[in-house]
Order: sequence, then C-alpha cells, then structure tokens
Amino acid sequence: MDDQIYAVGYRPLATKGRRWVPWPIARTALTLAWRRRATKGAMLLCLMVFFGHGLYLVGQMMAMEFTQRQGHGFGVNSMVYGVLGQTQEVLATFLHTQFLATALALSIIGGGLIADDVHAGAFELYFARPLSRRTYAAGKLLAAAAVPALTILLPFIILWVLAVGISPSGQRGDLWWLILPGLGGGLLATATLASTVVGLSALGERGRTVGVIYVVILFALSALGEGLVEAGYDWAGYLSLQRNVSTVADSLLDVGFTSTAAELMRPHNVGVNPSAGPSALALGGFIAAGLGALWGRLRRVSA
Amino acid sequence: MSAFIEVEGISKLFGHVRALNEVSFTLGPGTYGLLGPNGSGKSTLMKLICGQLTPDTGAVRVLGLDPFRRPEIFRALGLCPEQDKFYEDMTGLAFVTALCRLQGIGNKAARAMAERALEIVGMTRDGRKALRAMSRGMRQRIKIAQAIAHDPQVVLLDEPLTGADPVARADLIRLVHRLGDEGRCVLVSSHVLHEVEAMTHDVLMLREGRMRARGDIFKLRRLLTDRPYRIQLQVADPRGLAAHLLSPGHPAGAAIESVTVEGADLLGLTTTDLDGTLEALPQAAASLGLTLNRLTSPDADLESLYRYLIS
Repeated sequence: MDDQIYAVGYRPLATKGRRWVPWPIARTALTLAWRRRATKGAMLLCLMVFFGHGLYLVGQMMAMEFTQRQGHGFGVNSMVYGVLGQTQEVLATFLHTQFLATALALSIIGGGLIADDVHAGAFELYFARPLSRRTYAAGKLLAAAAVPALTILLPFIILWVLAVGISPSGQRGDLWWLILPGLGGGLLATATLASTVVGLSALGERGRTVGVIYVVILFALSALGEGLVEAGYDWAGYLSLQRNVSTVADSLLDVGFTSTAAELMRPHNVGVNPSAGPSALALGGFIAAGLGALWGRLRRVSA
Repeated sequence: MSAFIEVEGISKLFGHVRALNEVSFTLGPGTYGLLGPNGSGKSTLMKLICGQLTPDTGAVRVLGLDPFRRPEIFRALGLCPEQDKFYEDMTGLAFVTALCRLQGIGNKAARAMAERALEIVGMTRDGRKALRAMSRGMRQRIKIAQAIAHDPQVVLLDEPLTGADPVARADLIRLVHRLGDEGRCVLVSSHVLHEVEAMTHDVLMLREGRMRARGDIFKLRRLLTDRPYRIQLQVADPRGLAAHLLSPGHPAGAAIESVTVEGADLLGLTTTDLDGTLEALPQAAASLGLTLNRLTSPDADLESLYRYLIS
C-alpha cells in the first residue's frame, strides 16, 4: 500500500462534552406540532380552562374576604362555602377539567410522535445518530409530557400561588399544604396522558388517525366505566382514566364535599371510585401499557 | 491503522430467506461501490453496517466497534438512506440542524455545521425552503448534507444520485470523490453502474446474498480469463489490418482469439491480453500506413463486469 496523508483518515471517537439528546428530539417534535392550527386551538382551550379557574378562584377569595370583613357568623360562611366551594375543590376541579382539555391537545400533538416517524421512515435517520432506543423513547416521552406539564402542572402552581397570595390571612395556613398533593395528582395525570398517547402512537402509522383513536378510546372507556358503575359494577370505574385521575386528585387534595359551583363546573357524568389506592394502581397499569407498547415498537425497529 | 469497516462472515436470515450468506470484507479509506441486483442483499448489508440490524452469524465492526451495540459510533458515521420521506414541514436547514443536534451538540454549533454541509452540497440558498417544496434532486442533496454534516469518517450512501439532474449528478460525483480523497471510507450503493464507475473503480458485487467479487474493476475484469476482451476499431482497410495482425509471428497475434470485419471501415477483435493488443494495434496500423480513427473496448468497463458476474 502506498504511503498517503489524508485530511480526515482514522481518528479516535470524541466522547466527552456531549449534551443530553432527548431534549432535541422533544423540541423537534413540539416544533413540528406547533405549526399545526389544531394544536394552537387545543392549547387555547387549555388556556381558557386555566383562566376560567383563575377568575373563579379570585372571585371565591374576594367573596370570603368580604364575608370575613363583614363579620358574618358561621351560618353565612357555610352558605358561601356551600355555593362557591373551598379552594382545594377549585384546584381539584381544575385538574379534572384540564385533564380532558389536555387529553384533546395531546391527541393532536402526541398522536404522531412515533406514528409519524414510522410513516416518514425517520427511524433510519434517528438511529444513524449516536442515540440508543432508550434515549429516543425518553425524547418522545419528554415531548408528550411537556404538554401536560405546561397545561396542568404549571397552571396548577400558578393557581396555588394565586390562592395563597390573595386568600384571607386566616385561611392562608390551610392552603400551604395543598401544593404537594396537587402536584402529585398533576404528575400522575401527566404521566398517564404522556405514556398512553406515546404508547398508542407507537402502535399506529398515521398521527391523525392515532389522535382520533386516542380521544375515542378515552371517552369510550369513560362512558363504559360510568355506565357499568351505574349498573352496579363498581370495579368498572377503574377502567376510566379520567375517573381514576379524579379519584386520586380528590383524595390527595382531601376534597370533603361538593359545592353547587363545583357541580356546575366539573365535567358531567364523571364520578369518583370508592378507593384512591386501586385507582392509582389502575393508572399505573395504563402507564405500563403505554410504555410497553412503545418499547415493543422500538424492539421491532431493529432485529 | 485499523480498518474503517470490517465484516466477518456475516449471514442474515429473514424467515426462510437468506438475505446475506457468509459475507466478509474489510474497507479502509477510499470510495467503494456496492453493486448487485434487487434482492442481492445490498440494503441488508447497509443496515448491518449502520447497526439497524444484527447479523445472525459473524460480526460487523465500524472503526473497531459493533454499530448495533455501540451507538456512539454514529459520531463518526454518516448515513444517506434511500428512502425519501421526511418531516415535510421543516426547511432543509432546520432538518439538517435538528439531526446535527442529535449528535449531542448545542443549537448554535449544530446550525453552523448544517450551514456548512448545505454549502458543500450547493444548497445554501435553497436550503431555506420547506422540504415539501423541494425537487427530488434538492432533497437528495439535503440527505447527503445530513450525512456529512458532522464530519464523519465513514459515509454510507444508498442510491445517492436518484432524482438529481445532470449538473447535480456531476457535482455530487465530485463530492463523493472528494470525501474519499480526504481519507474517509465512502460506501456507495447503487443500481446505476456508470454513476458508480464515475465515483470509484473499487467495487463490491453481491449476488443472492453472497459476495461475488471485490476489488478494482479492471483487475477483476482481467481475472475473467474465460471472457476475452472485445475491441472495436475504425480503420480505412479493416481486412488488411486483420490479415497483418493474424500473420505468423506478429506479437499481438497470440493473444487475439478472433477477428471480425464488421463493416467497410470497422474491425472487431477478441483478445485475452487487452493491454498488449491495445499497444500493438497503433503500431500495426502505422506499419501499413493506416490511421486508427477510433479504438474502443466495449467490455472492459463496469457494465461488462457486472453482466458477466451478476446477470
């Protein structure tokens, strides 16, 4: 072989100073999703739910402040609570309602997370990069989780700060403890939504079709659960994602009773299960099923 | 120095179909053509080299590492896939930048890499268009840009010239030459033989999952001793020249197997010694006072080699 000097040639691999790759994967997916008008519409719906609850919370606090200043007795205060509800009830109702709105948004944003990659043949390009299947899965889950984090977790924190900030001084102490259970419920909802939408997307090959199927399944399971519970089959309540999330959120936030306003604001026909523990387990099952479907698809990509 | 790509006795089965059968080769720096008909195992081999499949037997190593289990190898490997479906809403620049970011580098550096790669493939201006608005040739250039953007040592190009116009083809062929000359290992899979021949004379030929030939086109052609070379020449007196070549004692006569007068000024020869005959012909013509107007060897190229070995 002739002696030659090359510009490139054989050189050792540079391994240090590399950044965390799941974020670029998530960012690309979210950037592509944001270009769709439907995504903006769904996010607007989530924003409206947030603003609605924020306004209600402000009104509730002002009413309580007013009754306290006027020095009304226990009877008037109870009546105000009975009509307007307690702060934790507003936060729980926010979680219930936003769960539905976010599910709709995720069906639009997350339906194509894996399915569109399958359709576009992007796996070949992704896996010709220095990233493992686990990293790819983390990127897609991050993209899916970013939506509920933005529509459920962040607004929940803002609502809580708002409630603590403007509540009458006598009630502020009762509100401090709400943040951790509220975030717990929000995180569970986020994990459930993200893993189920990514799992379903991993089974399909068209983002839009997956999105439609996701919404249909979600509502069908809710309707089936509610219907069977009404017919006396209590176990069927655990089939409904929304019912499980409501049960866990109510339990964590310790919502004791249901006010007139909450009855009006809550999504119709959604009750709660008798026990929060099995609901949390059922949600764990949904999360596991979603992750299992994702992993199954990624295993099939290469053999 | 280690080999860039080492393939050791790999076989791959899909159900009962043996896509690759005991294939072995080693590639160093330079440009190589991977040839074979449909179903010969080219795509399977490419997928094995870039870690998207694992071999049932044998081993593949790229820069000394198993590409299936060590994805960090893709910092030094670029793949231009055959498929032509992308995220259509993205611009070419955004697409290449996004893929560069998957190398684990920051947005600014990734964008700079992408811009440089687009400049190399001549897409600086058109790279700002959405992919859906690009012609097939432009998309092809974008695919090549994303394969070379991170300055890889090993570049795999699957049908890289599909859809490119003649000017783009010439540019891309020059680019492939350049990549090989810089000391990278460039493996080009293609059906279009004259394009491969324009890029490299070093080929790997697959047929029915087996390695049929590996090496320089002209050296491989010389090994086919049962297939004499055909030479066609245009000369004013083909009969006179034929008689002179076949006369006893003529140095080229021993290698010449047959002579055919194919027209008023056309002479066809078959010879087992192409170089010797090509050297002797002008001298023979000059000794008869004739001028050779045209001299061609139609089966000393890649197409003939492919026809003999594969078809």
